[in-house]
Amino acid sequence: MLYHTTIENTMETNFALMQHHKWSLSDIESLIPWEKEIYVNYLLKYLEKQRLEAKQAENANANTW
Amino acid sequence: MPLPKVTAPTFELKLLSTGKTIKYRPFLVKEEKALLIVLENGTDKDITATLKEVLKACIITRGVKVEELPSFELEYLFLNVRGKSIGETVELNVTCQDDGETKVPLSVSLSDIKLHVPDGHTEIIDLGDGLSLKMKYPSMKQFLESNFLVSDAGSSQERIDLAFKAVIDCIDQIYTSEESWAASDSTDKELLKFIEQLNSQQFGKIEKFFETMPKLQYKTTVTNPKTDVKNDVVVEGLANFFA
Repeated sequence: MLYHTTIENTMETNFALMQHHKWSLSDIESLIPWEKEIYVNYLLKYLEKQRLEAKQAENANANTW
Repeated sequence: MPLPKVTAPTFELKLLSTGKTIKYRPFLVKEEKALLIVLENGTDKDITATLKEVLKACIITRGVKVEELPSFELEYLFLNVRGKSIGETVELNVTCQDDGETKVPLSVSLSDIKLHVPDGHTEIIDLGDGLSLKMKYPSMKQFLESNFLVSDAGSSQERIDLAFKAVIDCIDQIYTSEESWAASDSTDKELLKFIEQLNSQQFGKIEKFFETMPKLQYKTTVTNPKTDVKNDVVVEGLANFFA
C-alpha cells in the first residue's frame, strides 16, 4: 500500500485531535506523517494509562464502601 | 517583516539520469492528505498532477524542473521522499503465479528497490551508414501527454501522429562522424520528416530504446502457503509498488 492510512482515517484522527485535545488543524498538517503517528501513539498510551488509573480509583472506592 | 520559515529535516539524493545531487524534505500531513484524496477519487492524470505538485514543494534545490525529469527518475525520487515521510517499508500483497489466486503478504524495504537498466539499453542508437541518434528520456510532461492524449485520440491516424510526436520529443541529437544536429534547433516537422524516412529495422532500434528504459524493480521469492511452491516475484514501476 502507498499509505499506511486512508483519507477516512486521516479525517477521523484529525477531528479527534481537534475536538478532544484542542490541537489546531494547521499544527497537525505541518507535521511529517510518521511524526503525527508517533504523537497519536503517545496519546493513545496516555489515554490508556488514564483509563486504567480511573478504573483502579473506581475499584478502590468500591472496596472502601 | 520576513515571513516565518518552516523548518523541516532535509535529505540529499543523487539523481540517476543527471548525476546531480538534490536536496529534499519529507512531505507533510497536508500534502499526504492531498495525495490520499486524489488516490481515492482522482483519475490517473489527477494523481500524477498532484504527485508532481507535492514533489515540487518537497524539492529544496533550486532549478530542478520536476516536469522535465524522466518518469523513472520521478518514481525513484517519490519512493525516497515517501520513505522519509512515512517509513522505509512498503507492505504488498503479491499473487502467487502457480495458482494465480493465493495472495501472500510481502514486506519490502524501499532501500532494496533498485533502478533496473535492462541489458543492451543505450541512449545512443546506431542507425547505420555512420548516422547515430542520441536519445533523451521522456519527461513526465511528455509521458502524460503520450499516455493520456493517445488514449483520448479518436482516429488511428491521430494515435499514430501522437506516437511519432512522442518519439521526436525524445530525440536529443542526430549526428554523423563529422556533423551533428541538435533536436532543439530543428522543428517538429523536420524531425518528423527525418523519422519517416527510416526503415523498419532502424525504427525497431528506436522502439528498443523505449522498451528497455530503466524502471524500478524488486525481485524476490515467495512460497505459496497452499501448495508450498516457490514463486519468483518481480515488482516493477511505482504503480505496482503502490497498487
